[in-house]
Amino acid sequence: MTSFPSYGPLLDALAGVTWPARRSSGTGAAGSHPSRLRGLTAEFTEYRPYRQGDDARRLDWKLLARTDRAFLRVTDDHAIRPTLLLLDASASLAFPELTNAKWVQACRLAVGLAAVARSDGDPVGLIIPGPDGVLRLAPRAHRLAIAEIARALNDTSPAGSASLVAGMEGLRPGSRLVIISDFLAEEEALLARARQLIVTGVEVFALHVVAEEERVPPDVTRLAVDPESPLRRTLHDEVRDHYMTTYATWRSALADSWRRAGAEYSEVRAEEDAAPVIRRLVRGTTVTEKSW
Amino acid sequence: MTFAAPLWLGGAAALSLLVVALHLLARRRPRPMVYPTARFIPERAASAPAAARRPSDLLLLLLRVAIILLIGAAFARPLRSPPRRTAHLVLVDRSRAASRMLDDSFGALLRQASLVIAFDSTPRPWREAADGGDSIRSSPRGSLSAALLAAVRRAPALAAEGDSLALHVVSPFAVEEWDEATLAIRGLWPGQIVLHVTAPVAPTIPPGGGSGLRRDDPLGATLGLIGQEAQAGALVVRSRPVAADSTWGAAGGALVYWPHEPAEAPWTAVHRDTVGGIFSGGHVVVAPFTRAVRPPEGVVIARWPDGTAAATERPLGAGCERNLAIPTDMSGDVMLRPGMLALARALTAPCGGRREFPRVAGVLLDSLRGPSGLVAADQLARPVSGKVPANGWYLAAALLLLAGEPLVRRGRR
Repeated sequence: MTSFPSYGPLLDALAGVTWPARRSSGTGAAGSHPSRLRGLTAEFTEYRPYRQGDDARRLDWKLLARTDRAFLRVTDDHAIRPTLLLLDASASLAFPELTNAKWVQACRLAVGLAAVARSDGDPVGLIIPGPDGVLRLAPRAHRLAIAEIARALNDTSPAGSASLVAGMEGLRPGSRLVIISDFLAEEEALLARARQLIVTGVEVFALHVVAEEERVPPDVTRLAVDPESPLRRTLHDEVRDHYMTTYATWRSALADSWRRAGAEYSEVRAEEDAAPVIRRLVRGTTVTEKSW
Repeated sequence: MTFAAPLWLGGAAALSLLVVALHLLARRRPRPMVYPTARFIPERAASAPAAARRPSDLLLLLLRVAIILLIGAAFARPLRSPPRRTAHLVLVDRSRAASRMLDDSFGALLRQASLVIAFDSTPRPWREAADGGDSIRSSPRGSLSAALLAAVRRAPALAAEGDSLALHVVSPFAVEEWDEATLAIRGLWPGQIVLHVTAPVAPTIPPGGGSGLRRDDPLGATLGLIGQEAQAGALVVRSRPVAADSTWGAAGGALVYWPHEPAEAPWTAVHRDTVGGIFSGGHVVVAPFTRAVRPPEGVVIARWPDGTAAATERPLGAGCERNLAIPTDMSGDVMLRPGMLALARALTAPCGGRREFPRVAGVLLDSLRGPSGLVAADQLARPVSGKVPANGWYLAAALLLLAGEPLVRRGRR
């Protein structure tokens, strides 16, 4: 039985935290994130010499009349960034069996990030692929969006296995995708799809939830049963060190591959406080590209 | 409980020890635990055999040992000992000397009996004798020798009924039932014989018997020589019997219809010829008798030399009716010869032969009773055959446990 503490303290701890986009958005809707579009808005940035082919409407006619030089008036645009939280609700998240700490942490991350994104004015949605289909909450900027997400999470129990890739369809360029998973299934396919999305301008965050019991296995002999496959292995003293080495190597390789793909990868312990984790995730993410 | 092939039992015990040893050395499977990262655990041996002080699974071990021992016991051919009680074998005299009605005191004896044999000259099952409706008047002479022999032969079959046997004989123990072999056959029975001495059948001859024939009647002369007392149990009539004659016979007498000329009697005619004699029991008369008719159906009591019936007897109420197709108008002194007198005496004897049945001497009865003590079942039957095979039960129990073993094993996982 999973007990969900109230999200109130978490949301209080995240009040005022913003989540700026890592790169300028290409979307046209007005929002808080810098947009790559330059144009007709009132926020002046600079002048630029006229080049053949530029829109004549953007000429600063007064400056032309005064100085007889043709300059364009360049302004900055701001756009919203729809944020989609893709949550892995497979059986492997229901671990450890007693506390379901991985799933609880995943839910906290989802609610916290949703709250931070919505406080920036971004619409927030939720995607939970499950054995019976994909649960989708379309991105909304309404004040009740967070409550809807929390309710959907409370109604979901991790079980079975489902494809996360199936939940990665229909994302528009300029949106933000946060994948919260343990990445133990279809890791190659997931990475390949994420790479495609990144190329199309989607900002991808990969939050890898890891339980302490997975990093350091219990010091007893047990028959380890994979909840999502018939795999059974015996965990005992002779293989414990080998396991920890192998698992650490895999996590390191996983982090490298996601980062190389352009995603923002973070490993999150299931047991740690979610608020600092979320602050760490959103902190220092600035616009890294400017295209003129 | 004994075993005909105990080696199987020893083999099963050895196999059980092996199973116990395997349980002590059994590989222990660790408890399962859900572990999402199980795939990172290298695939190595999960457990190694190691001796333990306690068996790995006590219930499963007990179940398996029980199955092996039960199968071994079944193949060892277990023999269950018969119940510790006394089986009763009862011989009931149904001969002509014994009263047809048994005293009520014998009811309990017959109810507790494992086997009841009725006997006269030959033994037969009690039920068959009771259903046969045999009349005491038509029953043959009894034979204690035949009855004892039957008891000795049937006793082994009763070994399964109990651990000891008691033989009861219900009889008047008439002299005529005793013969030279009786004591020798009694010696085949190793224990005591319980004798239930009953009263012999009482003579029931109605008054008014005799012949009343004239002296010039050849048969009258013959019967006159025999004497009135000898023929008191019979009524000899020369003409066709009337109702009064039949009534007398039905009351227990022997109605003897001995016509002057058999051809005049309403009997079936046969080719008329002359035969050279007649015999009845141990009496023979050699003379040229004319045969013209055949007497009616019944027990043949006199025959012509070629074996055909010359006289028959059939029951008539409590008595009998005799029809004699023997001519009496013989030339010469045939009717007065000793042989003819003996024949006439036999043919006019009371129904059923002898009238009185004196009991054998007390010393003979003591010999027949023999030493005290019951007979152990093993004395009459071979030890093995006297036991009841029980391997079917063992095999059934083993199969039942065998069917449950997978369920227990699955439940333990």
